[in-house]
Amino acid sequence: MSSGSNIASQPLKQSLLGLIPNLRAFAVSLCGDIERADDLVQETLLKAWNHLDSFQEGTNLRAWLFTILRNTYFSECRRRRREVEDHDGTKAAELAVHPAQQGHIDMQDFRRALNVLPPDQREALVLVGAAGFSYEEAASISGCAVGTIKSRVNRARARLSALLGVVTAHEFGPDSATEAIVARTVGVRGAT
Amino acid sequence: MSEKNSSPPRLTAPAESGESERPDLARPRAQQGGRGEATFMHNRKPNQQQGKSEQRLPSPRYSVPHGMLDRSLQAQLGRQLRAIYSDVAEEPVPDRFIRLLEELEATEKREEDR
Repeated sequence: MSSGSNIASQPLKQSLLGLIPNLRAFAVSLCGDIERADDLVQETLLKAWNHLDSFQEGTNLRAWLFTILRNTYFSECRRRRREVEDHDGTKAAELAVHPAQQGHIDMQDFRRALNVLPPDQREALVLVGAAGFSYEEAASISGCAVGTIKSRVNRARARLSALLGVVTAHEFGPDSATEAIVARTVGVRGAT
Repeated sequence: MSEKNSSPPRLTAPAESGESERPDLARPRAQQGGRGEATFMHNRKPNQQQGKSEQRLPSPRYSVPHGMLDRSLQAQLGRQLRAIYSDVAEEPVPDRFIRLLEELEATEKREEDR
């Protein structure tokens, strides 16, 4: 790439470029769709560029960009709430049709299950479990209390386990049956 | 003053257990209301409320879910989550973003030059 180098914005441009892969990964895990994810990243970059004055030098640029991206995503979700709910319902139904094999979780099933989680739980899980943020950082990105993040992460994990239905009956006794029923019910409700 | 009428009725609290065994320790506290003996008594005082509060604890069955989660299952879920994330995070930056940043930079430069 041959670009005229502007001394003032070069370091920022480089930092932004370096963070794009992370932003895309976060966006994909949030919305489950690479094209929509790239649109989110583009919007995030534009907003960041135009509001650089609100970024405090020396603070975490990555966390700041993640905050912009998730705020963009969630306000978009509120705008198209109906559409999103339909979307999730379809995914839940598919999940019920293709139950996971015992002891092995297929990657496609995992993706579907992740997309069935409520967005706030999915966000918390990804920030802490994949993007490597601390609970405190995740809380400040999501604009909520640390305890809220922790409980979202816990609920997300429990829900994923239930949805993927890999709890083994001999280890957990009657409760695995309950979890399987929960997973089924979610699927059935989504299909109607 | 209060010394005369205070002693017998004031002893209602310890009466249920320790009073008959240690009347000499129980009495001064009620009468004098302070000093060394009183604090000593305070420490030794049988905890009456414990029994009541234990009965009010919610049934342990309420907190089943995450205690039940299999550790290896959780590890597997964690690995898959990170795999999904890093699949994308390891891709090269798409051209559209490189172009976007160059355009933003160029626009900024033009504005500065004016």
